[in-house]
Amino acid sequence: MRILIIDDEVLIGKSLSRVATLHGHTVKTEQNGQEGLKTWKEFKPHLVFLDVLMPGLDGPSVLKQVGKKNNEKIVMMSAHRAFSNDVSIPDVDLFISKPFKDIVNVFRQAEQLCLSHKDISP
Amino acid sequence: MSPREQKNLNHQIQSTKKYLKFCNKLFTASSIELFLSDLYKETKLKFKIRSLIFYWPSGHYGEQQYVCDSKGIYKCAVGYGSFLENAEKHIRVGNKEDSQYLANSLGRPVQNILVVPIRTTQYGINSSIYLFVEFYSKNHSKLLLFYKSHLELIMKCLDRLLLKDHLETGIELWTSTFNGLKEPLAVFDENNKLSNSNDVFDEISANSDSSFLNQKTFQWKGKVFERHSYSVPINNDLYTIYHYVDVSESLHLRSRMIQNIKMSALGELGENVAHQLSNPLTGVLSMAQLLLHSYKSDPEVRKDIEDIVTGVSRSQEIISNLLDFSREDNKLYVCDLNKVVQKTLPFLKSLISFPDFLLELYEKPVFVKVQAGLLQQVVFNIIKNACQAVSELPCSSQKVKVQVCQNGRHAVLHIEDSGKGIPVNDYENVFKPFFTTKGKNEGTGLGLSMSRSIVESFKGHLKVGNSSLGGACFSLSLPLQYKNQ
Repeated sequence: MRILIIDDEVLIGKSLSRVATLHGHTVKTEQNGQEGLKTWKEFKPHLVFLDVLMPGLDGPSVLKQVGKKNNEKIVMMSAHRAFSNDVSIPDVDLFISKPFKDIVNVFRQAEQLCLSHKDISP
Repeated sequence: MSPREQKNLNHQIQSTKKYLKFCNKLFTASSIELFLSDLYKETKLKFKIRSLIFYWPSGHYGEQQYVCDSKGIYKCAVGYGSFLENAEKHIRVGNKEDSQYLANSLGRPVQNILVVPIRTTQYGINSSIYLFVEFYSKNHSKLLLFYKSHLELIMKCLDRLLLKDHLETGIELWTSTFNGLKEPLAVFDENNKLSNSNDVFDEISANSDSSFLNQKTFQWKGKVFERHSYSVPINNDLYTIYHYVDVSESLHLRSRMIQNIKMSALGELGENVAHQLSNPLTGVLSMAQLLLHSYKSDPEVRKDIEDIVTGVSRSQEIISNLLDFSREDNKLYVCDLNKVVQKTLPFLKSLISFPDFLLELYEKPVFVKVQAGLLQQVVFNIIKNACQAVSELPCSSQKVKVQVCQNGRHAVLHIEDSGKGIPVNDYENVFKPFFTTKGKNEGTGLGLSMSRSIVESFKGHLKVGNSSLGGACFSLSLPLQYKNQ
């Protein structure tokens, strides 16, 4: 499955990408909202990891501009407590609050979201 | 001069002397009651008077009526009637309404009545005082003449007595008010000499040296007073009122407010730093976790990465503590007293620089309902005090013990030290605002009073006693909560 990771924190992007690759997925990583938006449209991911606070275009704005066309699953990540409980952002399937303790666990949770879809395979 | 003339003259002199004595008596009477009974005694035999009734429509204590007769002088209920309407200007005799009025007051039939309206300069233009004279004799011309010719005298005497009464009441009111004030007050004349002061002021100046007079603020019995002065002209001189305002409460509030502002600034800063750090730390932790998987088989590298993971996890813990410490949403949460203490200790690391710091937590969670951040401040404060109390001792005798335990339905935290302790007399004083045993720049003396008010806001208690370690033992107790509450 195609996974897009948009996070300005290099190490988070890198580690998520590594776990995803290890699980046999195709991964693209972007470090800001604008690039992320562009890649989102071209790459047509099945699963997107999206950071909330990023310089330039932030997570919720990216989400707004892309619209949700391909039934992709969206995982939003934030260090701000306020965001982690915010249900007013539509289209988000899972909120992960930072700091997280175990990245493998986080990735599994996200992967679970997609497992119900038969047409997607690694 | 013939003997007869001589006798007559002597008689006249005698009666004039007697009369002067009477006038003098009336003039020097020290109260209205005495004045009345003198008037009664002097006129009783001469004019066959049964009683004198004095009606006072608007005294300081309202409408009043005094009766003076052979039984003495006593107060009696005010009657009801309409005598006032026509009795304002002239002395009148035997009016039926007047008799009815008096009969209603006295509860008995009255004899002949003479009403003497007396105008006084007191109580405004319209105030009249009435004198009822009850007499037996049918021939009242002498009585009438007496009152007509003595009206002026009676008025003057009453004026004086009423003025005196007025003054006395005024002075009494003023002095009681002045002395009743809880804040010290003193009036100084132009030469800066004390001219008047109230009881609190006198008490303070009797028990302390005079330097407090010149200080902008001073302390007395755990309160802080701030001097305010105003000038007042009195009899063409300029006097100065020194009013010492009790500012303890407002200082207390101000310090608390500053503390709150500091905490919320710290909170804001902390939150910001925490979020800024949280992201890269999460990245480092995640990366390290992945590397750990990759290097499963290399024990040496694995150990290094494990150390990284531990280090980062600890950093995250510190950040989350910092967030808890400064969280300020004014809500009470149930939390474990053990944890509160544990989470506070990292902030005290620099002070706990001696080996004999003993921490005894309770084996089970001890739940209390508090604002954890505020309670942490209290715990922080008291442990800090304990550490400061032993800081001057040689390292081997520096001891601080922090113990969490349960006592009945209370969660208890004991903080003991081996310092020099607190004298029994000061057990309560240490909780008063601004009481301090530390040097000028070391403490404001607000820590413990604030701590106590925080603990009390959680329905708990904070006390101090002696410790077996030799110093003070602060005991903080809070009502125990059960997790499902």
